[in-house]
This record gives sequence, structure tokens and C-alpha cells, in this order.
Amino acid sequence: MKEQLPALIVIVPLLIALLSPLVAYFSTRLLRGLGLTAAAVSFVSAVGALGHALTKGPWHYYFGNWAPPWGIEYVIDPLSGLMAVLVSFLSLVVLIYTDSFLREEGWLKQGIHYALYLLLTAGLLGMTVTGDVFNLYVFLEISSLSAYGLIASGGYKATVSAFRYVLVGTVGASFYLLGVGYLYAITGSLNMADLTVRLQPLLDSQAVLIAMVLILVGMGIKMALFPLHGWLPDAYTYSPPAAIPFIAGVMTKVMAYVLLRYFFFIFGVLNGFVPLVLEVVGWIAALGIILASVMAIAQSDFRRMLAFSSVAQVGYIGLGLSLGNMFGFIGAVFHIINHAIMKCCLFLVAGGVKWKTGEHLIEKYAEMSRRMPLTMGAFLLGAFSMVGIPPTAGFFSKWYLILGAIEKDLWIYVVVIILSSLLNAIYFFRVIEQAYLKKAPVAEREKFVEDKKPELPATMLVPIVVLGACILVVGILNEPLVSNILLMAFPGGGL
Amino acid sequence: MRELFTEHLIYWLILFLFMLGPYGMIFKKNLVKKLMSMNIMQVAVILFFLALGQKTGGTIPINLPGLIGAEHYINPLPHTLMLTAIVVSLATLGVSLGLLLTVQKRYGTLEEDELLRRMNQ
Amino acid sequence: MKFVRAGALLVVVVMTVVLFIGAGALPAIYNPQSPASTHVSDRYIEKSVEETGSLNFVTAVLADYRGYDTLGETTVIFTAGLAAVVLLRSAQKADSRGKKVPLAKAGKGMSERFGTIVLNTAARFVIPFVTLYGVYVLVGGGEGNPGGGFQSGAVLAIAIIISRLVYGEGAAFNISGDLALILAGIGTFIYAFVGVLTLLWGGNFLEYGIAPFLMSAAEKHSLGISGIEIGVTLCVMATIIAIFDALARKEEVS
Repeated sequence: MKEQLPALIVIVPLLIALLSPLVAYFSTRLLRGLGLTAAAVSFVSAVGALGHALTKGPWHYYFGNWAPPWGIEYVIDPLSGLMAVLVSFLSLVVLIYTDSFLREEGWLKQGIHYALYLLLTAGLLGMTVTGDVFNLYVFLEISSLSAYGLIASGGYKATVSAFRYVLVGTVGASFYLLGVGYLYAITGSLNMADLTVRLQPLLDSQAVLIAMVLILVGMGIKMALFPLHGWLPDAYTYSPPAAIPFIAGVMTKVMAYVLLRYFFFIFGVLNGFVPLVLEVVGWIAALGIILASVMAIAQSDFRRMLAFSSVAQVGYIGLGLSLGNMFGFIGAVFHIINHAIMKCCLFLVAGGVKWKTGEHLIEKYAEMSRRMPLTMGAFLLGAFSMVGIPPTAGFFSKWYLILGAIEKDLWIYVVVIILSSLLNAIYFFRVIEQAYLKKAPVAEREKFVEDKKPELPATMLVPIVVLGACILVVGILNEPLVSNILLMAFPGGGL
Repeated sequence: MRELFTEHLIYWLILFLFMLGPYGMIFKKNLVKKLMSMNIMQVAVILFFLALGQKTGGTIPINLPGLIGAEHYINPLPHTLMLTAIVVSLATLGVSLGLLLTVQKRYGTLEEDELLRRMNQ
Repeated sequence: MKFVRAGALLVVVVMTVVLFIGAGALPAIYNPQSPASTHVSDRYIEKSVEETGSLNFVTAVLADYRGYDTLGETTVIFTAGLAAVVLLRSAQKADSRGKKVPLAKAGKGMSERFGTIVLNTAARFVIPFVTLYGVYVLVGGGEGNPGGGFQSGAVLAIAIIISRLVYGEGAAFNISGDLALILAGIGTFIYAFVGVLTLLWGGNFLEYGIAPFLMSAAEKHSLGISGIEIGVTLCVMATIIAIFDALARKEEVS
């Protein structure tokens, strides 16, 4: 079975998702076990595939044994393998967490939730490991549709924001598909490796420029790159807490990965119109970082604040993409990893606080550090990482972005990164101040001093603590991560 | 002039149709009309791919006895891809109609301005 | 606000102009020498009868060369079914809790209105034919060989919907919403399971040629295509019924 690992990464969650309603009908506990097993198998396969890619070079897997460009292939290179590990790991962690929110629901609701969640996982994993641009579109739609379903199950306000998300997301997907159409018209191929070769003589053609812009706009909408972020804040705010950590942590990041894949691998950052397009992306991203950070300061709802901060953080990834050099690439990929972990962690914290107190407003966080010490500890790590304080992971990705900007003599970007870190510090400090320094009103205080129950059920607390630890571990192990994996992932295989 | 009409006019018509989508979604206030605009956009992409599949002198991509050689059949790949795209657009349409029904039930309106007013009450 | 609208209009117009200019650089349409018509497609046309046993090239690409895409496509349908059901069901739950909801009174008492003798008799004649036609499309629709799972699923679903509309919820020829959702999952699972079988026989995912049967390669591929088409049919049929059930049930509640 070992040679089938690349397929198993995606197939296993997909198979269990398809059977979820059936299994849920008989036993929801069995469903939960199967779901966790599927996510774990997918994670182990991804780790195995990444190891193979690092030691023996890229791994090509042909579906139906049809050689590309006629058939569909999966390609595990260090970059896609790393993304697959990230996605499957976060999927597993959040899946453990969701149980407490679902336990009260009927079998149908639980079955549908598990099915949609695993389909979302399979869709995102499929997008990361595929080597075919149309197959990417199919899995993009699987992940999008399941995300619409998950978001919409969060109540009436969520349906309105989900509808907006459907409209905007479909526009994004249509733009992407039209871009693929342009590429297909001028090359006749849909396979990424084949496209790379066949595009070489055509890179000065206007059609390639348009295709680039279409794909950029399409994926820009999906990853909420400023100014295409309009759908994101509402969608994140009104979603049910069982699903949103995974959606917020991973979905936009996978879309950013797709852009990296296109610009660094298929078009090539130095060819034809690419530097021009990337420069525009850079300026827009820089503007987005600042504006979204300012917007985040103005929010009173914790989740909404995190949503705007997501828009700013996606801007960092756009910035790394636009730099187009090795440090920019490393910074962007590193930030994808960091941001996925820390945003996921922060939304888990938000869900945990909601579970405990039923509140999302920042002003209700008073003295939370005494009520939920471990949760708030993880929050503190996440917040430090967002701001970029050294031992945490967030510092190092910003460091590489700054190095990349200096290498290109773009000092303005350095200023933007430092300024936005200060803005991040402002809005996270508001929450930290509430949680650690403010005293709660007396009436409420008596309530929680009496309360001898553990702060959260173990299934919720463990994921929060694990992700908090991950932020530290990734930060401390940044050097081996960069030199052993990220440098290998850079097109051309490092130095 | 003749080349223009035979070779590129269809692209322009399709792209015009495509851009009607964003236009409608921005400027129409009724949610159903926005949804229709979205669908128009998806149909435009489907037409674009189907146009790519055409060949002068090609017939339908089903094997006919005695007719051998790629030049006699139109390209089957865009048709296949668009079968998938059609199904995807159908699925999106289904989900968004479900969403609209729920919105209509709860708020009693599908006009955007009115909806925002009622949501904020 | 006016300013924003004008800006948006400008963006749309500029985008249209840019796309128009870009279209000039695309290869001419109808040109048999264009890259799209020469690079990948030739093999599909020239080899698919021999390699996949399918006379219809579109079926060959859809179910065999790019069969994995079609698995994704079927999954998309299932996902849409799940999403629609979770939406409509949660809306009903809120209604039954007594929230006041403005809703048009159409569709009330459906079964009484439609249950006339003409309809009953007609339905009794129509339903078997529709069902038969659905099965025919599945087994013999694609130019004398398998194909057409999507169409067949839609036709079969219509047979059940007609029965449901005429005889109401208690119709004998009916599939309930929950069961339909489970069936849709099983249908897509059948598709994926064909792929898992090929994995177990030692081939790649969906590599039909690996099957350990005494047949020619083309026949094995035909068999594989029939297998996945059955899954597709079941998924499409059940999803349509599940969505219809979620919609219709809402009207019965009011």
C-alpha cells in the first residue's frame, strides 16, 4: 500500500465523509471514531509522503495509471507535502475539539456536520497535492460548498453572510476557471508541469497576462486579499464555533498556496509580465495590511477582530509572494504555516470562551485569566505570535519577509511590516488587558470563584494547548524547518 | 473584417456575458437577481470552454464507423470539463436557493436594503 | 455611496475592456491547428475505443482518463445535497419552535388538491415508463455502451417526485428524505469503492485495467465505467430527492 500514499491523503477522509450519514444513523460514537481515524490516517500519509519527497525527490502519482497530460496526477513535492501535513494536522486537532458542540444534536445533524467537515478537509487536501489545474477547480468547489454548508448552519444571520459568501466565492471560482480556460486555449494542456514547459515561449503574450490577472483575482477573492475581502468578516463572525477554527485557519491559506504555486512554479517569478503583476500585488497587499489592522482595532467582537486580523495577515503572504525572491518565498510559506496554526488556535480559544461563558465581546473577557488559565495561556502565545515577539513563530516569518524586502531595496515594506506589528500589538493588548488586568464585576466574580469545574472539557482543552505549544515549537525549531524543508521547497530545490 | 467576426467575435460576446455577472451582482439590489447574475457568469465560462472545443470539419465526438483520425472529430476534453462545471454550477445554485428560502422565511424580504434594515433591528 | 457605485462601474468597464483586448491574443476559434485541438485531445479521439472500450469519447474522458475529476463532481452533488438539507431542516426546526414567519400559503394541502382520479390514473401509467427510461439511459444510453449516469439519476428522481406529488407523503413508491441522504452518500461511495478495489488489487486509484478478470483490457474498462455510473446514478437520484424532500416538507409544516 505504501506506493498509494499520495492518494490515501485525500481518499480516506473522502470515503468516511461519504458514509457519514449512514454511520450516524446507527451510531454517532462510531462515526466520531471513524472520523478521527480518517483524519489521523490522512495526517500519517501526508507525513510519509512529505518524508519521501524530502529524501527521494518529488513523488508523482497517476490516477488510473494514465500518464499526464492525459490523466490526472498528484505531485508531492516538499511544498505540497508540507501543506498537506499542515492541513491534515489542523483538521485532526479541530475534529477532536468539535465533539462538545455536537454532542447534544440529533444523528442527522451530527452526520451532516461530520460529512461536511471531512469533505472540507478532503477538498483542501486535494487542492494542495494535485498537479492538474482543473482538478484543483473541482476540489476548490468541494471545499467551498462544504464551507458554505458549515457556515450556514450557524443560524439566521449566518445564512445571509453565507449567501454573500456563495456569491462572492462563486465569482472567484469563475474567474479562476476562466483563467484556466485562457491557459488551456493557448497551450492545450491542463497539467501543471506540462503547462510550465508549454508556457515558456508564450510568456510575453497578452493572453498569459490576462490569465494571470484572472487567476490572481479569483484566488484573491477566495483568500480574502484586500480589497477583495468583503465576504470574510461576516462569514467568520456568524459561523458556528465547531467549524470556524478550521475554516479560518486553513481555507484562505490553501488559496494563498495556490497563488504561490502558480506564480513561483508555473509562470516563474522572473518571466514576462509576472514582475509587473507582482509589483501591483505588493502595493495592494501593503495597503491591505495597514487598513485591515486599523479596522481590527475598531471591533468590539473578538471573532470579528480576528477576522479583520486575518485579512491583514493574508496581506503578509501576498507581500511575500510579491517580493518574488527566495526570502519572500520562505517568509510567505512560513507565514502560511504560522498563521494557520495561530489563527486556528485563537478561534479555538474564542470558541472555548463562548462555550464557558456564552460571550464573544471583548469587554466580557475581564479576569478570564483566572477563570480559564490554560486557555488564556494559549491565547497569550497566539497573540504574541501575531504581534511577532521573538520566541514565537510569528516573529520568524516576519523576519524573512523583512529580509526579502531589504534584498529588493523596498524599505517601504519594512516600514509597513513594523507599523502593522505595532497595530497588532494595540488590538491584542486590548484583549490581554481585559483578560489579565481588569477586575470582573463583583456579581460575576462570585459565580466563577464558586465554580469548581475544570475550565473546559478535555476534548476542547487539549487541542487548544497543543496548538499553543505548536506556536512555540515552530518558533524554536524555525532554523531546521527553514533549511530542511522550506529551502527544498523553493523552485530549483534550494541554494 | 471577416476574420474578426469568424475568429474572435464569439470570445467578445462570451466575455461580455461574463462581465454582466459582476455588473449585476454589484448593481442589482434583489438577491435573486444577484443569484441570476452569478449563474450567467458561470454559463459564460462554460460557453468559453465549449467554443475552444470547436474545429472546422469536425463532427460530434462519438466514434463513427469508417471515420478515423483526430481531425474528423471535435475536441472532447472541453465538453468533459464543462459537464463537471455544469454540475458544479447546478450544485451552487441549489445551495444558494436553499439559503434564499431560509432568508425569505426569516426576514420576509429579498431586497438587500430592506434586509439589512431588518437584520439590524 | 454614489462614489462607490461609480468606482465599481469603472472597475467593471475596465475589466471588460482588458478582457476584450486579451481575447485578441487567443488562438482563432474553429482552427483545427490550435493548441487546444492538437496537444492533448488527439489521443482521446484516436485511442479511446481501443484503450477504454467506449465509443463515446466524452464518456471515455469523463469516466476513465479523467475519472478522478468525475468522482469530485459526484462528491460536489452530494455536498450540495448535505448543505441544502442542513439549511432547510434547521429553518424548520426554528419554525416549529413557534417563531413567527411570513410565508406564502401556497402549496397547503397539496395531496388533496392533486389527488384527483385523472392524476392518479395518469401517474400510474407515467411512473413505470419514466423509471424504465431512466434505467435504459443508464445501461444503454451512451451509444450502445454504458454512460449517462447523471441523466439517468435525474430521470429516476423525477419518477419518485411525481409519485410523491400525486400520492403525497404516504406514497408507496417513495424514498424519505433521511434515507435519500444516506443513499446519496452510498452512491458516491460506490464510485469511490471501485477505486478502492483497484487499490486492493495492486493498481493505482481507478485503474480499471488491473481487475483480475478474464477479459480484454477494453472490457475491463467498460466494466469499471459501468460500476462508477451506477454510483453516479444513485447519488444524483438520491440527492435530488433529498433536496426536494427538504423543500416539500417545509410546506407541509406550515
